[in-house]
Formats: sequence, structure tokens, C-alpha cells
Amino acid sequence: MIRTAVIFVALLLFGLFIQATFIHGLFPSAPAPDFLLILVVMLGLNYKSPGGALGAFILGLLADFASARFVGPNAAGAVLAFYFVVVISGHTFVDRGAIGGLVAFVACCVKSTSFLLMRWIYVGVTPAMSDVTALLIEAILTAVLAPFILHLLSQRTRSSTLGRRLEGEIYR
Amino acid sequence: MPEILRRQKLLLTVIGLVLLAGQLMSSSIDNDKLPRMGSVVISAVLSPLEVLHHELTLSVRRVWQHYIWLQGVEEERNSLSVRMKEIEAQNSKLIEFEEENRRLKDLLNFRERTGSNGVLATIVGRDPSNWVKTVTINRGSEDGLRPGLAVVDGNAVVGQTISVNQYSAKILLLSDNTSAIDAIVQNSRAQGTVEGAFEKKLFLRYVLREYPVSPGDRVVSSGLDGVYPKGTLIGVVTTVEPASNGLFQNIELQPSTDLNRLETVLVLLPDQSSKNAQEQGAQ
Repeated sequence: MIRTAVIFVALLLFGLFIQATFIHGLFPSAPAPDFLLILVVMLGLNYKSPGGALGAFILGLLADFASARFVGPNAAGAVLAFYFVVVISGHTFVDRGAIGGLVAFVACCVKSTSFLLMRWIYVGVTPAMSDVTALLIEAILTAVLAPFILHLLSQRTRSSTLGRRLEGEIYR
Repeated sequence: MPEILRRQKLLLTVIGLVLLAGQLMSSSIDNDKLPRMGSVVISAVLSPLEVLHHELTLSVRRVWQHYIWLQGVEEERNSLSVRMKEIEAQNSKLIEFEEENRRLKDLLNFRERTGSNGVLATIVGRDPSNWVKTVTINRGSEDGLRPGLAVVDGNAVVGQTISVNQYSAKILLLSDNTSAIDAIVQNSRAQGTVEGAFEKKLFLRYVLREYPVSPGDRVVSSGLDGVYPKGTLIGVVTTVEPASNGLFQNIELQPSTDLNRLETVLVLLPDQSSKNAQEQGAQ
């Protein structure tokens, strides 16, 4: 269990590193795809349990700590996005192709909308039209990247003994 | 009832986590120790990787520009063309040094002009979220940094430090929606607060409508907040909308520094910057 948690945290930190360096290096002045949100979608597709929700919460919390600004908005957004993915994948077949991209698009909108709402409620910063534009651009870019990343992660998860153990531990 | 709870375990967990996140948000607004502590832990792990990534990127770029590309050309051209390419590569390096020299001179001039003492730092990473405008620098408490220090780029305000590790620090850029800087318009001496917006613009708020403000006016820090030295350039007014109702004008600014192309910044050290800011604010 501890080993599983350590590997999970390592994956989260790797995601943060990728987001802060490579992704923002490719998109220096524009909204960038949300790599961490794709990890949340992966959790929602593969780990439909309270453990998966907790994983999404921790992922969002790490993003909040990395920002060093406020703790909570990314965490809440990640959990809501996770739940959305769980609900949708329960009613529709979601593969890692175009449908996966579409789910990632809407999940990104859910996460970013939650972030903006929380910032509005708690800090008093009113969302502007430019925020909506940036939200849509970020969601589109994430939707484009999502199928490739989900395909890569699903292959790794299925082929590894650890992946099978993760599913077994969570559903025990 | 227990059966309903068992079936709705996931939904209840989600609701509980969202409420917890709301509580954490509320706590972190009242007391910024929590986000700062978390940031210190995350930065302790991420910052060395960000610095390593930065150095690797520079090395790869140098190798590509000065070796691999030249190899490809060298196969196709004669020895004179190869020599010409080598000279062009050296020229590129000199131009890069010249650009770095200009940036460092600007920073040095700023220090001499204001009497401020500071620490030069390089940007090594940006915030992973699209909604928070922070950058990571390769200086920390080892170099005398602490939260709440002004950061400039030699010409204008960049932001302030919000979280400091031993060897790295996070800077909140002035373009962040939650950033606020006490400012004055240089011509009319109208006072207001500069707040960030998502795009490449800023807003100057709470300027009374009887103060004349025009596009092209320079906006500088007032020094009253005790963070930024008085007179440090923030931006230039681009649009002014007179308020139809209410007391204040709607003023947009263009920041004087390109926050998306920051490479080297100067962090003003606590003793001199706060002393300058307080003295100049009192004048």
C-alpha cells in the first residue's frame, strides 16, 4: 500500500514537472493544455472509487501547493472533474480516442469553471470574458493532447503487474 | 439508510472532498502559512528538476545550433561554407551575450539609480496552472530572500516573492488576478491600485474621476505598500473610460515589461528595499 502511494505521488510530481517546464515551455504566452487534468480523467476512467476521488483531490492539492497561492481551488476542480468522468463513463462508452478527447474537453471546462467560481466566491475576483476565452482554449488543447496520453497511460497500466495490483487494492 | 450510504459512497466522498477544499481555501486566505508550507515542500522536490531542465535545454540548444546543424550543412557545402557557418554561430553567441549584457546593465542601472541592493535570479519554471501567474527563480533563503520582496527586471515591476525555499523562490507576477500594487499616475499624481487581468493588460482601479488621466500616462509604484520602491515603473495607460455612474474611472494599462519573456530578474533585498519604500513613501 505504501509502495503504491509512493509511486502515485511520484507520478503526480512528474506530471507537475512536465506541466511547469515542457508544457509551458511550448506555450509560453498562451493557455497550455492541462496535463494534470488528463491524469484526473485517467483516474476517472480506471479507478471509479473513493480511492480514485482521493487521488484526484491529492493531484489538485499538489497543483495548489505548487502555485503557492491558495489551497483548494485546483483540488475541488479536480474532484468535480473526476466525478464528471465517472458519471459519463458509466452511461457512455469512453475509449481513448475522440470520445476520450471530448470527455477531457468537458472535464477541463468543469475544473476551470470550478476554479474561477471558487476564486470569485472566496477572493472576490469576478470572471471576465477573457477568462472564458482562455478556459475554452485550454480545454481544446487538453482535448487534443488527451487521447495520446490516455492511450499511453492505459497501455502502461494494463501491462504492468503493479497496475493490476493497484486495481485489486482499491477495489478490495 | 446504510444501504443508501454504501451505494452512494463515491458521491459522498466527492461532496466531502469538495467541502474540505472549500475549507482549505478559506483557511489559506486568512493565513498564508498553509500554501507557503506546501509550496516549500513541493519546490524542494521540483526546483532542482526545473533548474536541471533549464540547463539541459540551453545545452541542447547550443549543441544543435553549433554542432548538429553545422554537421548537416558541412556534408553539403565546401570547407569555405563550413567556415562561414562557424563564424555565424560565433556571431549568434556574441549577440546572445550582448543581449544578456544589456539585460544585466539595465538591472545594474536600476540598482544604481534607486540605491537598491538586490539579488540577480534566473527564471527556471512557470506555474503548472493556467490560472495562477507565478514563476520559479533559482535563488532562495540562502541568498537572503524572504516572502514579500519586490522583484523588478531593471525597467519595471515584475511582481513579489510569495514563497521561498532554501535555493528557490516563487514570484507572484503583477499580471495575476490577485496581485495588487499601490500606484500613482506620474502626470496627475492620481492614486490608485494596479490589479492584474488574465491577458497582457492591467487595470488601475479606484482613481477618482476628477483626476485627469490620459492614454500614454506612465503609472509608477507609490511606495506606500512598503514593498516596491517609489517611482518604479509599472505600465502605461492605454484606455480611459470615464465612469458614467460612481466615483471611479475605468483605466487599462499595458505593463512595461513583457512578463512572458522574462529571463533574468532582480529581487530587491529586504533591508534596502523596505527602507527605500518607507522613506520614499513618507516624502
